[in-house]
Amino acid sequence: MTYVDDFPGEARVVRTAFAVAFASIGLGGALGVLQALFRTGYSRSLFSAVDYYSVLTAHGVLMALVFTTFFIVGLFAWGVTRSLDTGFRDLRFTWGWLALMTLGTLLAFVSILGGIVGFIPTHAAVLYTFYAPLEASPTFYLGLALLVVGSWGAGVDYVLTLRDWRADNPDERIPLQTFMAVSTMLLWFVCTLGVAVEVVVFLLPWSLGLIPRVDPLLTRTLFWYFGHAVVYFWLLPAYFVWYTIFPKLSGGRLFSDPLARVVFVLFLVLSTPVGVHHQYGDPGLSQGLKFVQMTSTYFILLPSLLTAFTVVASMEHGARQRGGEGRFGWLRALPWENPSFSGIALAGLAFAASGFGGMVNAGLNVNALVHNTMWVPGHFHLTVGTAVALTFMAITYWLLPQLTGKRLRLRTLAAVQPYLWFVGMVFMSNAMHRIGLAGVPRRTSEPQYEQVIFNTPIASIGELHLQTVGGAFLLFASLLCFLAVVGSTWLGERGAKPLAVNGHIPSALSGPEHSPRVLDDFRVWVALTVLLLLIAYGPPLAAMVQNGLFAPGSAPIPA
Amino acid sequence: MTEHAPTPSDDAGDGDAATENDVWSRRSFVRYLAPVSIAIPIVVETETLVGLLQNDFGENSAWTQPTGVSVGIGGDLRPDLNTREKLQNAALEAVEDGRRLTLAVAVRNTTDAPYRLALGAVTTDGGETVEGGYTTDPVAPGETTSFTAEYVLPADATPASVETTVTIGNQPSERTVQLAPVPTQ
Ligand code: HEM
Ligand SMILES: [Cu+2]
Repeated sequence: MTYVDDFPGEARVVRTAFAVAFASIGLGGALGVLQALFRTGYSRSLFSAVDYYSVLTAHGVLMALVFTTFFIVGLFAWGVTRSLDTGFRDLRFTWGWLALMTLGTLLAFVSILGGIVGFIPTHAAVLYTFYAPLEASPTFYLGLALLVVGSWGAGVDYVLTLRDWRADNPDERIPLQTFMAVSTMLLWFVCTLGVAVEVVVFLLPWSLGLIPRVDPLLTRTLFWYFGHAVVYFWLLPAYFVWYTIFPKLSGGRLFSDPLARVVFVLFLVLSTPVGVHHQYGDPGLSQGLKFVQMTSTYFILLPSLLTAFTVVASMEHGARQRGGEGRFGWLRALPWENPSFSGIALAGLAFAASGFGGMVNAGLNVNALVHNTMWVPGHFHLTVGTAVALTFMAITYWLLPQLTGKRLRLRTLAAVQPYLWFVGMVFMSNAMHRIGLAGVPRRTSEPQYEQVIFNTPIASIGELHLQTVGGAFLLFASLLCFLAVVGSTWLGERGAKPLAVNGHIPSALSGPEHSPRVLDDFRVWVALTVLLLLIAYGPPLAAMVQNGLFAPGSAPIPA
Repeated sequence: MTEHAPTPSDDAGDGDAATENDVWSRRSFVRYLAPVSIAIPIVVETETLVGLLQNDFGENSAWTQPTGVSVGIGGDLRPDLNTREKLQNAALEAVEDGRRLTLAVAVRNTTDAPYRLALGAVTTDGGETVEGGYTTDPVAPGETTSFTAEYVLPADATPASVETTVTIGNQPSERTVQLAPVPTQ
């Protein structure tokens, strides 16, 4: 029995969420290519240099906020119901939150579109970080608020399903997939609180004209309280795939279930009290605070290194099960033709590389070299743009048949797709990093100035621009392959051929019985998280609101 | 279908994966994509690293240049001194017998002693020396002045550095100042 037979209603929910996600990445990818062409000066005729910022907002929102969130709520809906072997309590509630998210997305997207087409009276060229003093139409903020509130509904749905299961199975350990989904959603609850306050208390009333001004530092701080943790909200679902499905794709089993739980708990606890590492350039925050949060940032390397270890170990175990031998020879025994496998393996490789850049970004002093340059998009196209996005695309090849009951089609395109994405990203991201080292700013439609010649360390700017655009086209070609596979599979006939995949996941080599039960007690971890947050964010936020909630520049500026 | 308690069917897990992978194994050409795809970043990143190292340590690297920091428009020609020697403008312009380099400088004497600034020869990226320059009249304490110096470089040359001499009281201080790329008019 496949998932769609066991849980037809839930499968439909997951498919709908995925459909929105795929529409977003398709559209966002097309905009990405246009941006790359515009910035590099290859083509500037399709829209104006001013419209560039609306296009860039749409790309950032569609990719980083919409594609990710919709895929994640779908993936977790599958993981929770599959691993608990029980459907959602009430599908009307489930459809309710999904509808809310979709409505919010449409509202936000149309608001951005208004900046480009004349007949929609809205504008939202505020980029996906939407800080003050940039101001968008109220509909944009409202749309984002609905998207977030809807996703809270998803979290509630998973937690309630777990509660019901718990009542029936009081002595069992929480299945790993549900454990991961719930800890990620708890992280999401904790961190979205910051952005919810930013939007609902400050930006929305301000854009409606109800309050005359907001404090940019306060709202930025609230944003980055959310803005770092959100990267783990993107990443942990990829880890969910790496830990629970990837070992099977490699031909083996997960090495250690307890280690996986520890990793997720560490992320829950450590992800939020580090947001200030995005504000190293902000005046009004003390050096001491920046230093402390830099230190905690380096702590979160730990769970990622644990992940690298476990995932590679599980992969090697699988390869040896398949007859692989030798110190490195086992790599050849892996199923590189299977795009679900290769996509995740390449995603992991990209993530390992991006970790080095991440350490540069996180260093308080070194950050000044790359802050707000093209280096930064170069970095996160490896993380969210590849480690996360490529994992999601790869696992779609494995999930979609189980969600539709239809065998995957256009398999050759599917098999090539992850390689195209990976190589395209190597070119684009490498060029972006190097252009950034020369000091070329990001988020700039025409990054050239009469009196400035950017001194690229190696190769000329022209060569790097060519490399950027070449990479962008490879990425887009890869995206088209992905959409073609998904589209034609979806349109295929149900049950016509055997699926050739099944949702069975072998148990871990070291199971949960080897870990203390307290790991499963989320109350402890949430309490610890809140405590750390109070320590990390209490004093600076208190200082900022001292001379009034809405007074800009209220924080004392250090001498 | 929970994954915690090992059951006999768990061991079939590996077998499962094998059948799942069988459908793919016919596309064996894809196997070659893996080593190629992994070699590409290794080549690209190695090239980048070697380039960066050459840039720092190789011939003509920033380290072998006369001063560590190159000065562009708006920059301070002599950050080592307390006085102000601001490069107000710099431009290259094609002329009949080559390219004319114009350097406009504004100075302020922040010391208590008489002061003068001399711009001397310019060295091109090819290593040629182009004579020329300008020497200010003595500038009284607290006073300012500005001037323009012109040089005619060979047609394909770009300026790399300029000699400077600041004299405070009777104390001359010489330094070769590396120039940032100068915009062409
Ligand atoms: C077809 C593939 C893609 C191409 C060609 C592409 C291209 C670009 C370019 C050129 C920029 C920089 C623009 C600038 O700073 O001026 C950019 C920004 C960005 N991209 Fe992509 N991208 C692609 C895929 C993705 C994916 C998959 C994600 C995430 C899931 C993503 C997320 C972002 C974000 C968040 C920004 C920053 C927006 C901002 O600065 O406000 N991109 N992209
Ligand atoms: Cu961060």
